[in-house]
Amino acid sequence: MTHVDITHEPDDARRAVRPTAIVAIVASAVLLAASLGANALVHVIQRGTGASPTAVQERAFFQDANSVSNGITLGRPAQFVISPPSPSPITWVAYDHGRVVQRGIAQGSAGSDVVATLRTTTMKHRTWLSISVTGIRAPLRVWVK
Amino acid sequence: MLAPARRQLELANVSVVLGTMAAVAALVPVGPLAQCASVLGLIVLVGAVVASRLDLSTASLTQRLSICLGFGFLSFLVVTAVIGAVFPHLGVSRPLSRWPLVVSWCVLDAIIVGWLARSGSDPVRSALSGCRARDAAWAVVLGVPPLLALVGMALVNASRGVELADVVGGLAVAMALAAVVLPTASWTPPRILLLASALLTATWQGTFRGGWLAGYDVQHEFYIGTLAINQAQFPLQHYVDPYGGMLSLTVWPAALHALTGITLRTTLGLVPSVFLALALLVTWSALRDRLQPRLAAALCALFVVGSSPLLQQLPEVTRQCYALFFFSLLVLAIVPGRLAPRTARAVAIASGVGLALTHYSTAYLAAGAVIVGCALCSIARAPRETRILTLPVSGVIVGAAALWGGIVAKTGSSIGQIASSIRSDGFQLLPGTGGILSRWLTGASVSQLVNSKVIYNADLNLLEGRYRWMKVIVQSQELQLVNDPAPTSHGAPVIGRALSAGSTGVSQLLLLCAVLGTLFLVWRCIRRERALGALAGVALFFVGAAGLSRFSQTIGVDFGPSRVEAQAYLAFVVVVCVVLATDPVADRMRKVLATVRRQRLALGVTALAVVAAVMTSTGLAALVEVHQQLPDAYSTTGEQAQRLLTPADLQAAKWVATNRPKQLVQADRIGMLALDDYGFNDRPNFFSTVDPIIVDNSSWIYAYRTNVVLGTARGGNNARTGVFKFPAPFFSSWRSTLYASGTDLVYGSIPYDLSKGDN
Repeated sequence: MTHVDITHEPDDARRAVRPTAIVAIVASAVLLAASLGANALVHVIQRGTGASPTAVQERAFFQDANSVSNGITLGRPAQFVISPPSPSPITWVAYDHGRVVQRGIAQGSAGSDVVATLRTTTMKHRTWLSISVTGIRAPLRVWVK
Repeated sequence: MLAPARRQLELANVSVVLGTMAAVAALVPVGPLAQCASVLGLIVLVGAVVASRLDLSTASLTQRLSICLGFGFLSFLVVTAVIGAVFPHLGVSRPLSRWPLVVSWCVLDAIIVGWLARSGSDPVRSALSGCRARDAAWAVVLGVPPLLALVGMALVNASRGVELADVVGGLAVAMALAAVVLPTASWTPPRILLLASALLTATWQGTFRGGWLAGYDVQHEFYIGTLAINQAQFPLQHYVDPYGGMLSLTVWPAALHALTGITLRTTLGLVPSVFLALALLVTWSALRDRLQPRLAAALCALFVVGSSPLLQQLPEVTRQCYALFFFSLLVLAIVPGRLAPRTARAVAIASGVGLALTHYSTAYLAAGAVIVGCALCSIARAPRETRILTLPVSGVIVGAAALWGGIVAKTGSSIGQIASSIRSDGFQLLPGTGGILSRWLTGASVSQLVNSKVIYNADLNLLEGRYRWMKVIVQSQELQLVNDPAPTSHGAPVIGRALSAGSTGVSQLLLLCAVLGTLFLVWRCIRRERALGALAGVALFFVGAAGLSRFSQTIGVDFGPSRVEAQAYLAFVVVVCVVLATDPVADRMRKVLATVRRQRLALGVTALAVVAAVMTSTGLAALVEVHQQLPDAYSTTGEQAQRLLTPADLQAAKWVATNRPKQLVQADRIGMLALDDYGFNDRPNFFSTVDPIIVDNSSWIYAYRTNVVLGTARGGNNARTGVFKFPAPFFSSWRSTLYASGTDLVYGSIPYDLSKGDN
């Protein structure tokens, strides 16, 4: 059985201010330097594995979605947002029953919200209107009252 | 050059150095090492100062480390909670934000460092005495496999192959095996470090799978942590829920975020596993008091590293990981061993308080066990001077659980829910079909996969009962759910069956050893060794609790049996250790293993058992067995992989939470987890079903990656889950699509014109 007297304090500890200060400064500096190195390594690994936390996914959604959910009134414009994954321009096409009724281009920085406006004056009453955005599999869809 | 440096190190006050480094790291948290050093340094420093008040002269190094970390972590939680609760009354509105907390802890750190420099005492050096440079070097080397696990998991998430993940999984098994089979020599790594590395490697392979956090409970924990970080005070304002009363989910993540800048996701994904590894360290320190290193390693490998619930489920219930660390300390305290009785009582009290503050149900179970242990000590007339679970000690442990759980965490409703379930349904013991043996092996059928027809029929009943108020278009009733189970493992039939039989045999044998060991200890404490009363009582309680949760469908659904099992096994492993160390058993073992050949045979059998147990607990066994769920750590397909969430799912869920704050929202059983991250778990207007017959016309439907890309959805309840084709064509023909990304969709309400049948 190991007996360790942990209440024992070394006599020279009180006099060891200088070594303590030196070791504390050196250890803190080494810690910060190693930490910076580890940080760089983490970033390299994240890039290498494709696990970047800043990856942005393209998406589109209606503004004021609560009122759009139940349908939009014919003749009144509807606004929707496209959030691009890169600064490259993105095209969108609105159509009803396969008929293209409007086109547009959205451009903005990655992850930003680009607002587009859809005019409904030329559309039919009581029909589904779809908005297809390049790069997104399913279109946005809204009922025209 | 080296000699003067070594001399300087020997002369330096390690406590002061550590305190200085912690303060510097807290002020400049420039990277992961500094982030770890700041909080760890504070915990170790405070823990060592508190532990230096105790008599640890006879404790081993691992026991001193465990106790130091236990007191340090508890002190950190309590002090930070006090700062969070008191400072708002002093005009600091957000005391758990960066600068108030950095200033508070740096001032406290400076006071301790100043006092230590003045008095010349060095509690950290004392706590670490006996630690060799070689051990520290091995710790650094064995820290690599857990980091490799994170890289492997990131590659799987990015669909860049599972090879590294497979290798790392194999490495975890190899390390557990090495801890048992390696000889005791100067060149071999410490067995506990091998085991701890294996445990961390296996757990870190799973926590971030999918790209977000994997698991059920952790999603609501994320929401609570977000509240805590945003409010930066304790208790949480405008929030009444047992989760909000646990310091492990509120004060701890908020403090880590404030002091180090670590994100909440990182805290929930990485830190709980570290505490599981610490629980292993504490268990090891209890076992090493009585057993040789190899035997202690074998028991740890079988009961702890080989425990599937501990490795696969507990990291997703983060609050319980912290509590299990305190529970293992409680078990260490009550085992008659090296610790002086007064020290053991102090450790037991601190553990009881720590349990109450970190996880209420673990604390309640521990309190029940302590009551039985205390009673058995009285019945056995254990000598008062060496008794650990005295009335005052037991009273503090039980009182802490009851008071904190009742007043702060307000757990009454959760307990009431289980009680009302028992009143209405009974215990439903040994549910399921088949013979007694198969029912025994299956236990309570929690999360059992069933055919979607079963779910459809249950949903029809819900429509006629609980969801009668829902307005649903008649067309939905023409739509039957189509069964669509996820692919399972092909495996290798012969090896797979052997491995399956082996791991089942090992788990049943461990259970049998635990039960027989407990009965043996009860008998022995009454007849011969009265000091064993506390451990025997605690183990006896857990035999009952684990049995009840495993075989009662009612309790199993509300409170997972695997979580009780994980806690119980931390006590059972010590029970088996004590039994093996008793004179009659040890003598018998010596006689049986008298020859070298028999010793080699025993080592071989133990090694095989360890491989079978750890392969099962890490999930690797499922790849070899036939028709098993593919483990998500090593596979991009299968049931588990389909239950994962991606960052894009969270982005869509956030959009729903922002745009649909009050009205009805529906999602499938996994999609609901993404919404739980934004507080939907507490919402009355949220229903976790996408079966069209119980989707209200006015509901929004949140469809996540698995619904949209893979085309499957999950329905049912905690007991039975069915996998069916997600009815996307039906929803998209009746509803608007309000949100669309490459992987997620949000469907809106059915327009009033259509639902009225005007179209």
